[in-house]
This record gives sequence, C-alpha cells and structure tokens, in this order.
Amino acid sequence: MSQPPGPGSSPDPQPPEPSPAGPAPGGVALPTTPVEVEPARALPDAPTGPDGKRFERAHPLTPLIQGWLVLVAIVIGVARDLVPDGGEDNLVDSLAGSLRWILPLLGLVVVVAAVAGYVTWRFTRFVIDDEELRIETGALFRRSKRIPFQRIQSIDLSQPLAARLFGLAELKIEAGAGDAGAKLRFLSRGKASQLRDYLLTRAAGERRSVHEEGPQASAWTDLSSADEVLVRLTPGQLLLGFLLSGDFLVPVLVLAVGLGVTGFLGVVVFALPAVIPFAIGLASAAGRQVLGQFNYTLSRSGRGLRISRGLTNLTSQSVPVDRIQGISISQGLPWRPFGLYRVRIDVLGSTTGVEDGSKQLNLSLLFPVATRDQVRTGLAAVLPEVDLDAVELRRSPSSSRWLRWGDWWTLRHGWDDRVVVTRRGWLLDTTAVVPHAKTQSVRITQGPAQRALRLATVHVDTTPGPVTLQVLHVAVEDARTLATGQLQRMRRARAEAPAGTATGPARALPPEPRATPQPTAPAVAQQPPGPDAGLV
Amino acid sequence: MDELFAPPGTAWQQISPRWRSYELVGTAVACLLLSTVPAVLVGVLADLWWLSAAIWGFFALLLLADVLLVRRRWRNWGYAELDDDLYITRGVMFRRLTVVPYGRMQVVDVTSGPFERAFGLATVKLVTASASTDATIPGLPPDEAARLRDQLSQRAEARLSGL
Repeated sequence: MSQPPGPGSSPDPQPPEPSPAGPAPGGVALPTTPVEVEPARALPDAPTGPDGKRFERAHPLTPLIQGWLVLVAIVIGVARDLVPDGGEDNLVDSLAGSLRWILPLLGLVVVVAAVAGYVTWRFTRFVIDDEELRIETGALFRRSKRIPFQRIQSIDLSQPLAARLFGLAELKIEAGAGDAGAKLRFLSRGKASQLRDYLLTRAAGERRSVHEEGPQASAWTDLSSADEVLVRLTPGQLLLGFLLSGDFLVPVLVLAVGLGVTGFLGVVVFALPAVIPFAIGLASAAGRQVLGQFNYTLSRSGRGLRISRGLTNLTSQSVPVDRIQGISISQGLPWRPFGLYRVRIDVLGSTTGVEDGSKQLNLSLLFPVATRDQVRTGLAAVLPEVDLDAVELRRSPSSSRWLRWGDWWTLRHGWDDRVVVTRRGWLLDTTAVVPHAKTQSVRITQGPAQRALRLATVHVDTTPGPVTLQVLHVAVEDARTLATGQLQRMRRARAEAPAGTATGPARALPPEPRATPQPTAPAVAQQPPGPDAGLV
Repeated sequence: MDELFAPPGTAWQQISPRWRSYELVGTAVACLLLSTVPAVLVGVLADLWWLSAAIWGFFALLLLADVLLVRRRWRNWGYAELDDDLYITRGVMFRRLTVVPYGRMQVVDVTSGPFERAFGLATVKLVTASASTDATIPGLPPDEAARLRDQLSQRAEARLSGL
C-alpha cells in the first residue's frame, strides 16, 4: 500500500470514485486478487448453503482416479530411474530385489493419495448458477473463492486417460494474471462441457441461464454440432514438424557425432549405453509432441476459439477472441523448405500459471506446426480485418549492422490501421503482431552505441507472454515518427474498432447481477475503475 | 535534450532538486556498506590492507563519478502530461522515453519510504497490464505526487468512459 506521501499532504490516496455499478469489466491483470476469499461458515455436508444456494460436488469417482494418476506418475518416475543404467542381468536382478519393498510402499502411497483425494473431494463444493461462480475448498482451512464472470480469461477442459475412460473431465478456469484460477476435478464430461459453454458465454458478457442446454460435445474431439472447425492438423504434419524441430534434431546430431567419433576410434561399445537415455528422451518428446498434439483442432465455438488436442489425454482450451493480446509467427530454418510455421498467442493470465512449464507452453500455442494456409485461416479468425501480407515492411538502416552483426539485414517493421508488425531473424524467422487496441504503452530507448550511429529502438508493450514487439535500431527520426504515430493509431483503434474482436476493445460488460458487499482493499481504491475494459 | 526524447509541444516538468541529495546520500551509504564489508574481511583475515585500500579507493571513485553525474541524471528526468498520454523520460547513457496513454493505466501508486520522506520526496508509479511498461517518476514533492495521482486517475477514468 502506498504510504502517505508525506507530512502536510492529503492522507492516503482516495479512490477517484469507485466504479459506479461495480465491476471492472473485462478480464484484467489487476494486481489485486480478483476474487474474494472468505471463511465459509456452512458445514461441508449441507446440500444448501446459508444463502439457500444449492451446492454441488465433483463426481464421486474423483478420489479413485486421483489415486490412479498418482500411481501412474510414480511408476513412470521409478521406471525411469531404474531402466537407463547398467546391463541387462543387472537390471533384472535389481528389479526383482527392489520390487519386494517398492510394491508395498507404492500401495501405501496410493492409499494415502486416495484418502487425501477423498477428503479433498468431500470438502470441495461449488455453485455455478445464474449469479455467481463460487468454489469452496479445504477441510481444515476453509476457503471460499468467487470469480466474477467477467474476469474469466480462458477455460480448459482436460481429460487424462483414466478420467476419460470413466467419462470424466477436469475444468480449469483461468482468471487473469496474479491469480491461480480455479479447478474442478472431476466432473462428468457432459456436465463439464455444459458448464464450460455457460461460463464462456458469461465471460463474453452475455446473459444466459445455466439451465439452458447447449448442443452436446463429442467425446472424441470435444466438438459439438454448433462448432465450426477451422483448422485440423494432420498426424503427418505433427510428425514432420517434430522431426524437423530442435527437440529432435539436436539430440540426434549429438548422438550421430558421438557414435561417429567413437566408431572412428573403434570404441563404439562405450558409447552404446548413452544411446538408451537418448532414445527414451526422444521417445517421450515424440509422445508429448505428436500424441499430445494429436488431432489438434482449432474451431470457432460461440464467442471464442477452441483448441482441442490429444490422443490419450484430451485437452481442450477455450479462449474468447477479444482476450488475445498479440501473435507471433515463427519459422525455424529446417521448417522453411516445408513451409511450416509455429504460431503463439498472448493470453492474459495464461503465462502466469503456477504449474509446470509445459502447461504454459501449451496455453500460449495457437498452432504447434501449421502450413501457410492454415496459419492464414487461424489469423483470419483471430484478427478478422487484418491482412498481414498487405502490411508494408521497412528495413532498419544498414548502420544497424554494427549492433546486430548476425541478422541486421532481416530487421523489418511495419504497420497498418489495426496492427503493428515486426519481423526478424533467419535461423528463427519470427513475426510479431500486436493490435493497436491492445498496446499498453510505447517506449523509445537509446544506448550510447545507438546514439553514435543515430539509431534508436521503439518498444510496443503488451501483456506478458510469448509475444514481444521491439522495432530494433531504426533511424532516430523514424523512431520518433513511429512512436508518435503509434500513439495516434492506438487512440484511434481503441475509439473505433468494433467491440469483441481482437483488434477492438473488449465489449462493455453488464454489471454483475449480485451486488456483493465486499470490504474493499485499499489497493482497489486507487485504481482507475474500469479501465481495462479496453485492455483485454 | 534532443528532439528524439522531447514531448510534443510542451516542456518537461522537472523533478525536485532535492532528489539529487537523496540520490547522493543513497549512493554514499551503498558504497560505504558495499566497500566496508569486503575491505575489512580482506584486511582482518588475510592481512591484505593494501587491497582494502584499493577497494575503498574504487568505491570512492564510484561515489565521485556519481557526484559529478548526479546533476545530469537529475536534469534528464522529466515528465509531461499531455491531453491523452503521460510522457516520462530518463537516463544519461541509456536514454529512454516512455509514453503511457491515460486509458491504459490500471493503478497509480504513490510510495514514500522513510528515507525518501526524510528528504520530502515521493515516487509515483503507473501500472499497466504490461510488465515492461516501466513508468515511474521518483523525486516528487508530496503535494505534487498527490496532485499527479489524482489527476492521472481522473484522466484515466475520463478516457475510459467512452469505451
């Protein structure tokens, strides 16, 4: 909190005026937590809460599946440790020896996990109705978390194999930067996809009752009759992309060099043990990238885009189009002959997730590997009014060679009415696109070397994520024109662009239905209310 | 200041001259702490007192450089409130200009630590949804900081009503 600025001045910052009808619209990276956490008073068993709400619980099979997932994770971990080193005999012996104590231990761990899962399940309940989304968790420390519909950034529906076999799914709700969001595991698939559609509709600012049934999504692809498939990546494409990616080429090259050298010296036997971990690493990377992305489908579904993927574990992620903050299209050198591209997007909140790196990676991915036409289709869905090919790109002056000796001739930038674009690199040819309406601020920087060469760099700032837009090393006059022009274009874009598209401001949202009496944290008091509307 | 970093049509508002003393004292304290610990350790443990002298000398030079440069650093800080955007500039070697549209401000933060308060200074910080925005104005007198805060929040609100 801010301290009073000093003696003799007005005390603590007063809110300019709390936003009239309440809600800060549109998911926002508010530094304050977007949810209220309050101690719940009701007993976990009560079917109705103190306010007469009907609480629901996750599916009763949840603890079982969680136990199973723990078991699988352990087995994979242990197996990895046991397998790679040592010769064959050694391996069998050590396996037989260690199984004697591993098995009971494993059983114990699974039982503990299942009991913990049961307790969690028993004490977790949620309300999703026409007024609110609230989740109560915790056996000892009860937490009640309420997420305003407008703060929802994206919703994932994931089905690990075990859950999928029982027709269950996990619902993950991303609520913007600085918040871990919420998880509901597991719900029946039909219920989960129905809730997902409902929440997305509400996130887009439309009213709808939770009881309205939508079209049912298919178990295989998570698509319903109402969804329009835009792009589907073929398995061949995914495999080709993987075989030409650094994840595959680097280990294979290292291995080839290693085998070549040892073969040349006639000591190839010593290199062979190293092959096994390499093979395992490659196989798991291939599994992740090919099976995990299997049947990768981008579809338009109601208010947003949906990405579903996976052969055994089906994941499907839904993003409202107006939450997309920036796009980057990149092509590594090996992909060039095949015309393949990787497309990433900035979505607020998804990169601040606290979980493992792979999850973050997936959340920011629009296409892991796509052809030119597929990229074009995808871009048309995200940025409907923009034709990237028509944007005229200018080069940075050749004096930039002293600062970027590796790729100065590739530095290009350009803009049109809706977006600003930069492109650079030849090892990894990357194009970054940021809609004017999503730009947060503009900066010019100049170091001593740049000053000597009369160059400067212009930064167009957007929300944290894989897309960064920097116009590197342009002539001083151009930098100034670019920056001031960019400010004008941002202003115009925010004022004019149609709401609800990636190039426009998020739609103005209706006020939250239920007036929530909440003790306003002082931090909230300082923020200019509502702003962000445009922001996301 | 050259035209690359000038605000369009107005002059920069300067930060308080007291900021110079604040910076100098800060640098002096930092230099003293940073140099004394290794210098004393080297002297006491290894009996290399000449090395300690060198360390002290090095930090004394740093401090001297800051004394010579602080005026320019202070002069190069500036901010300007235009109709739609706030302009902030800083830096001597590495110059920068940050422009934040009022409509993009999410939080306006005023801070003033005990040390800053002793000099009668406060810092205003603007937060947008971008982590790289870097819009901070240090060395403001408290009244000016409060005025700026109110002004910025008001403008942020006005800019947004049209959305």
